[in-house]
Amino acid sequence: MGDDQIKNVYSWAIAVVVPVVCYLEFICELPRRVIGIQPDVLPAVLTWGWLVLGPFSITLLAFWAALCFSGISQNPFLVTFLPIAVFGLWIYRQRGVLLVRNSVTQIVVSGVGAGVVTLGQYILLILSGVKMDVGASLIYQVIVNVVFCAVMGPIFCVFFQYLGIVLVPRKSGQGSFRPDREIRRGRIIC
Amino acid sequence: MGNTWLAQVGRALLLPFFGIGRGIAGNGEQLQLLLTPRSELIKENIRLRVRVEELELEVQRLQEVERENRRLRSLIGWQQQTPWKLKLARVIGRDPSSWWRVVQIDLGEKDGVEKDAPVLTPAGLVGKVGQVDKYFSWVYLIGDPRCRVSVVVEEGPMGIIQNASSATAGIVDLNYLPKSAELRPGQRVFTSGVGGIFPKGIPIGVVIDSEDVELGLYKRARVRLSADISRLEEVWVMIK
Repeated sequence: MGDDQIKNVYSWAIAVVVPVVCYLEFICELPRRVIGIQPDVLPAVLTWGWLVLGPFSITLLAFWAALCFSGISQNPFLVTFLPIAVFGLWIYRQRGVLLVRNSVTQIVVSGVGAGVVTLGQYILLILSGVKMDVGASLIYQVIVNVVFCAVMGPIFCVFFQYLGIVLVPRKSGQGSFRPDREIRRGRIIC
Repeated sequence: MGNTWLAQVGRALLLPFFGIGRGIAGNGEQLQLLLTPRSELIKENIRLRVRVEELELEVQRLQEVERENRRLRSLIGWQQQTPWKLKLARVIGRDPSSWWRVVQIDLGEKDGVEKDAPVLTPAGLVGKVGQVDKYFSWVYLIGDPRCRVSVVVEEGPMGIIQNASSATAGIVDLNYLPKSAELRPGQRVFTSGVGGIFPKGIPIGVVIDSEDVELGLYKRARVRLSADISRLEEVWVMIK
């Protein structure tokens, strides 16, 4: 019960953060002025979901993220959705060998996720017939996304973990009192 | 692309954020006005009055030139140019994906904006309207693969600008120049008027350098755009 409850909190928290991040990526000009491009940190937001949620929630969150991203980008819906969902489900399958609460794991999953999602979107766009240049600008975009997501991924993970702790009431543990070991005064009547 | 019903649902989902963002921006401007000293405002007002008078004189001169142009065109039997109106639009946001060079503006169908309408700043052309919704539009900037512009180099040949040449905004490739073309850095580039989308003579930028491509079949030049498309806040949309 408690586990399901905390997973619901994680799902909702990620679902709330996704449109906020999309909107900030849409209006925030600062990264573009400093480094020339806008890093996409959606994989970093979704990392905690990939690491702890079930396949249905992962797919649903990928759908939600792609839906929000479609509102601000020219990317077709499927081009955004497929790489996020496929990578998320792959991480779900590998979960047995991952230390999900370890920062290094979160950095690696988030960074690799960013690279795979960016390249996946690029490949899907080319397959859908869009004429794109494969060159230095693509490599630069991938590197920037990987670095930003590797940095931001653990931060988002800690944030969602904290929300889980704050928002889900913990079951109180069993006390040391045991009725069979109670000391009773007076005679024992057999 | 980007105009499916799913994209429209996505836009609807983000509408509250647009509202909040606009509210914050509006309040910020109000605050800035309140904090500006009165003496500064008076100085600016005087400067703007002088500028308005200068521009009024310039408009009168240009109206006379236009009348003359119209008369001469009718004398030699040329078709009259379609008059364009300009409408100021505010840039709301920008597509986060670096492969699309697209911004969203706050003018839409209700303001008379049509697909393919040229978009410019006082410095030069920035792109064309790619998609139009009721209240806002998407502008494909020069350098986006979907915004091709036929251009002419000053005292030189014609070519086509079709995509950006580097990750940083502001430099684009000018392709399909004849191999015999002699290009010098600093030559200015204007719209050629060919293609029917962009009127002739809008400044685009200046040539940086050129090279032979496709085994010397044609030349390619890099052009630095006059308009700073990485810092667009307000743009003008041409409306028929």
